[in-house]
Amino acid sequence: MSQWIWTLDDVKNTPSIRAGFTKEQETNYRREGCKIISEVGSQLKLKGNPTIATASIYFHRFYMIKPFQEFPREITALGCLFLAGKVEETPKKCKDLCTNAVSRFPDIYAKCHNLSEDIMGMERVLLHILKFDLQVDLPYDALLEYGEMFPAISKENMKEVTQIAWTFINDSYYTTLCVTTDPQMIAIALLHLAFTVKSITPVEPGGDPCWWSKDISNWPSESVDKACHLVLDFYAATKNSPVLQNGRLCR
Amino acid sequence: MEVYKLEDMMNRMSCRRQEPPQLEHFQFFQQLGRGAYGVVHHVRSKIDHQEYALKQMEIISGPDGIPQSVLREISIMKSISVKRHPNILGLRAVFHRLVRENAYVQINMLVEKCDWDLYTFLRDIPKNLPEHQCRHISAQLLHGIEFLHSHNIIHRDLKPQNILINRDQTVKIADFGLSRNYSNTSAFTTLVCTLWYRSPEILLQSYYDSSSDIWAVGCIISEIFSRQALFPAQNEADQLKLIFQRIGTPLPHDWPQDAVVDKDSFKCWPLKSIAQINPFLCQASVDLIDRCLKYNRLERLSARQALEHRWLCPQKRRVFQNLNTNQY
Repeated sequence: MSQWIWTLDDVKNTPSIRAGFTKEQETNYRREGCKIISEVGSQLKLKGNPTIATASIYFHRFYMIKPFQEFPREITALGCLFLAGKVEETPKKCKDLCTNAVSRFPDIYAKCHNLSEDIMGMERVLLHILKFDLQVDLPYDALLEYGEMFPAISKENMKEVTQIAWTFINDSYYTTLCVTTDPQMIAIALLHLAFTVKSITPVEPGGDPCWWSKDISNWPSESVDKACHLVLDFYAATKNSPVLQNGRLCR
Repeated sequence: MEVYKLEDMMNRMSCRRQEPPQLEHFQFFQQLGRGAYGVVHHVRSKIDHQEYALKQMEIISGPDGIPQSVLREISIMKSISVKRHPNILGLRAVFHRLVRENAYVQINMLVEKCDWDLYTFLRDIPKNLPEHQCRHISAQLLHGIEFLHSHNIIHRDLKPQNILINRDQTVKIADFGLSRNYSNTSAFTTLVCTLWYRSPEILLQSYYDSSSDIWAVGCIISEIFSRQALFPAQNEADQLKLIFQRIGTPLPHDWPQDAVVDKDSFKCWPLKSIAQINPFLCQASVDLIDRCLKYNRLERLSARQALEHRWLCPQKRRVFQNLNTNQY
């Protein structure tokens, strides 16, 4: 297995948790970092596929190796976005990144006087920790391919299901799904979730409910559901209190 | 948080197995080479006691950090190396450090150590290689190129100096993707690099693609047989002229439309087969090389087609003949 995929136990025992964080703190910190990536990224006209997703993967991988206590998430988030921009050929000037970060989150960034240097320093730290493994696979292409696998479902329905799954993938980057699950499996799990949400049964009665078993055998429905729950938990937790609602980081 | 604090954190990071290596982990031997990209040292790891080649590049960290082209190329090389193709030089690790006084980032790339480069190998062997050995080396070269092309990587600077060869005759391609635009970012002055393997379309500064690598392969296969470069021009101005003198001036419809030089500025030499220039080639290889040195890049073989050529794939030809007889 790839060195960038961790076990579920590893995710419960991250460097930050070992350094004293609770699981909730860790989860919140990750969501906030990814929210910054997503918001500042959107303001710079970057898309979920690929730049924001890639930046979020860097962010989650980084904090599987280093603790939040040592590396502030607001700097790491911008460093990831800066680096992902270059790797995904959607480069943004460091200066523009800083301006947008300050305008979108003044309470977080106005106090940072050397933001530009911090981001560039962070870029080098990221390269060191990520070992220049910057090419990441994303689930989007796999999703579109799987979307063609169900000729029995009407075109309209399938289009809608694929769109829902696409949104699930975008939102999955607020969770640790990308550091525990291969991108192709993420595509399968979240397409499965989209089918469930739309109450569509993708297989004929009596057929194998695990329609993905040709590609990934021995992956039971229960494990797929578990992966989906990570995303559903995120929705449940942030429904009433969205991440960075008032533009301030939690303590 | 200030940048020195981050650097300090980086330096304090523990060196567990998962973590990237550092310079202190290596014992340095002699310098193996020096190119546009920087220097290469022969090193031994104090951790696994293996010998490697360590390439060191110094990059100016500008107002936007490490240049995008450098990052993309290194990360593509890193992702390709994971697949461990036998004919691609394996990149084992990449790590970097700040050379603060100069504001440079030094990027270290740890690669497999090979016995020779093809240039040195061909120069030092006492006599020409037998045909089967030429075929073995050429086939591996094409396997490596086919792998790069299938991953949308154009080498761009294929030459005997960056094709490596071991005692057991395994061939490995080095420096792919690293040859482009390095003079802008490298702290080293670009040394005169060889033009001898450049395709006409690159020399004419017109559109080029992976077929330019195939041109270079044609030149190199010829050189493997004769141990003499095919088009050894003295300077850039003479390179095209020498190619045309030796194998003929392209016909008007094969001249690139977006070329910066007009066809009429060259004398019209008649088209010739490689067989008339290089007497050491075997008959089957002549056909392969001629098809690699087509002026129209669309007529050149692809790496995959070249691997299926009867010179490299005699078994295939036999099967094909059997099929033909069975159709009666």
